[in-house]
Amino acid sequence: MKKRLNIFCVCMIAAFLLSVSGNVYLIIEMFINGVEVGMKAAQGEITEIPQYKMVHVLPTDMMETTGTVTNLKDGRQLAVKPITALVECPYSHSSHGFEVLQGLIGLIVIIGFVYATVYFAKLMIHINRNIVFDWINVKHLRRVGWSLTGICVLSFVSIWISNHQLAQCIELAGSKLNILIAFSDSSLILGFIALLASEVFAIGLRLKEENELTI
Amino acid sequence: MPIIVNLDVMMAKRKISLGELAERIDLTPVNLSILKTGKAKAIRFSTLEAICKELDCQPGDILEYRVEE
Repeated sequence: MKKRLNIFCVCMIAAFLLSVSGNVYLIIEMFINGVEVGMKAAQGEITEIPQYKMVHVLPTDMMETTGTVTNLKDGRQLAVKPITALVECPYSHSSHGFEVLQGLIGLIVIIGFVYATVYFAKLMIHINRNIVFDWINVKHLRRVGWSLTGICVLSFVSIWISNHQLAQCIELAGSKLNILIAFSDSSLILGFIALLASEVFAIGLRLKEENELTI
Repeated sequence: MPIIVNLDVMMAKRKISLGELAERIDLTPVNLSILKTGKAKAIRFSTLEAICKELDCQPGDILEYRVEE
């Protein structure tokens, strides 16, 4: 029984690592690029550092061409309709307050993920030690659930701020900024599943207590 | 809970100790104490029957409904 539980745990961790690997790769690549550009700017090779922002757009006019890419198979130019792209955004249009707020939200989201992971690990350790139907597990599951839900809400706020900033400096032809494309609901679903599981645990515990206190 | 267990009253009337009653009705003193102190969530008919038989009383003498304020 526990062997299967641990296998599922390992599978879940592997799936989680796989899902974040793309973002981690992007962050590392962008960090290296940023350092290189910064060093060039320090040496005077570049006078102005371009500010790129992640843009999530919904095409409104399919006839309007945003750009083209070359198809190396036949050499033809193909029209591109990006949904997510990095677009240069002049820094003067963005507020420092919003930048700080977004940074803080990012930090809280990372702490939230660590918090949820720690309590999930604690839950698994308890179950491995045969402490299954216990109020402490219900508390752990609730903590995991609420932290994941909070992460989702904060991510949505961060996306909204980013969209608000972008709307001031960007208006793309044939596309409009869309907040819902950027919104990832996976942590919200996971959070609600954890909360649901905690309630199931709580009901089971109450039934167990009632059974134990039936004389 | 609005259900009050008056087992202690009946036990005092019959001058019987908790251990003795527990032994007579084949229940552990711990479980009988849970019932006596009102911590029990439910009582089986078989337990109630055994208590009534030993204390020579009616279920209403042991259990009482009081409206919660």
